[in-house]
Amino acid sequence: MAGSGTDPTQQLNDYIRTMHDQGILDDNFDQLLALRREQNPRFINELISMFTNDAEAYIAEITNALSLTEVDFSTIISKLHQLKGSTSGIGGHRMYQACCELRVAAADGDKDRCDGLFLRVKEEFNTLKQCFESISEMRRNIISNGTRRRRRRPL
Amino acid sequence: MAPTLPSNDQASDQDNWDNGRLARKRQLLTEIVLRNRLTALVVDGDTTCRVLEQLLLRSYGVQTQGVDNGRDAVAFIASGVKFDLIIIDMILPVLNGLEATRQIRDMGVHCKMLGVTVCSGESERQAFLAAGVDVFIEKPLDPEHLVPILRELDGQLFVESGPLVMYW
Repeated sequence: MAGSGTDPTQQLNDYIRTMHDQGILDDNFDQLLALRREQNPRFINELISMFTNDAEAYIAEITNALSLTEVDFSTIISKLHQLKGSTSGIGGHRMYQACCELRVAAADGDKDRCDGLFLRVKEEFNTLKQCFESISEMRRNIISNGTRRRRRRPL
Repeated sequence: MAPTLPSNDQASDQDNWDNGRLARKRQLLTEIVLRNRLTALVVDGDTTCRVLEQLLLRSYGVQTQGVDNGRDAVAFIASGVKFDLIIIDMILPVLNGLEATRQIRDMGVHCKMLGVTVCSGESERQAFLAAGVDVFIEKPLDPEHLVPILRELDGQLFVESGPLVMYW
C-alpha cells in the first residue's frame, strides 16, 4: 500500500499493535488512548512520564528493601502494590505479570526467589520504558509536524 | 526481550479490528449523559492510578478530588465535604483502605463507595465489602464497571447515541 510505510500515524498504530502482540501492552493502554484529550495532545506523554518516574522510585525502594540484612518484605509488598496498580493502569501487561509473581515470593518471605523475580521486573520495566519512549517520540513527531487527523485516528 | 518493530506488510482486516476495538472503547466514554453534576473522591496512594481514575471520572463530567492516603480521606470527609461517590484503594499509606472505609461509614456517610485493588482474592474482596464498600473492582477502573454506577447515581436511563453533554 503506497505510503503506509512512511505515514507517521500509521507507523504509530502498527507499533502499538506489535507491542500488543508481544504482550508488552494490553487493552488498558488502549483505554488511555481513548481518554486522550484533543486540547492536550501531550496528555499521553505526560502520563507515561509520570508512570516512569514513579516506577523508578518504587524500584529503588524495593532494591533498598531487598539489600538489607533483614529483608524488609513489608516494604517490598507495599511498594509492589503501588507499582502493580500503576503498571496495570498504564497497560504494561508483562511487567504487571512479573510484579504479581514477585508479590507472591515476597509474601512467602523467599529472598532468593525475590532476587530472581525482581530482576525480571526490572527487565520488563526497561522493555516497557523503551516501548513508551518509542511511542512518545512518534507522538511528538506527529504533533510537531501537525499531521492532519484522518479517518483512521491513531490508536 | 526488547520490543521489535513491525514489518511493512499490514493486513487491512487487522486495522479494521483494531479500529473497531478502539471505537468501542471511545463509545463507552461517550454513551452516558449526566443530568446532575456528580462529585467523587479518589483515594489512592499511587499518583498514576489516582490521576487515571480522576481522568476517567472527569471524562463523564464528574467533579473529582484526590487524596493519597487513608488518613487524609477520613479527615476530608470529617470536615463535612460531601461526595456522591468515593473510590478507595485497599492498600494505602498511613491508614489502610479497610480502616479508612470503616471510619468513613462510622461517621454516618452513606454515599456509594467503590473499593478497588490489584491482584485480589476472594478473602480481600470479602474483607473490603465487610468494611463497608458497596462494590469491589479489580484495578484498573474501567468504563464497563464505572458507567453503570454513574448511571445509577445520576438516576437516569442509558442514552445510546450522541456526544457527551453536561447539563449544569
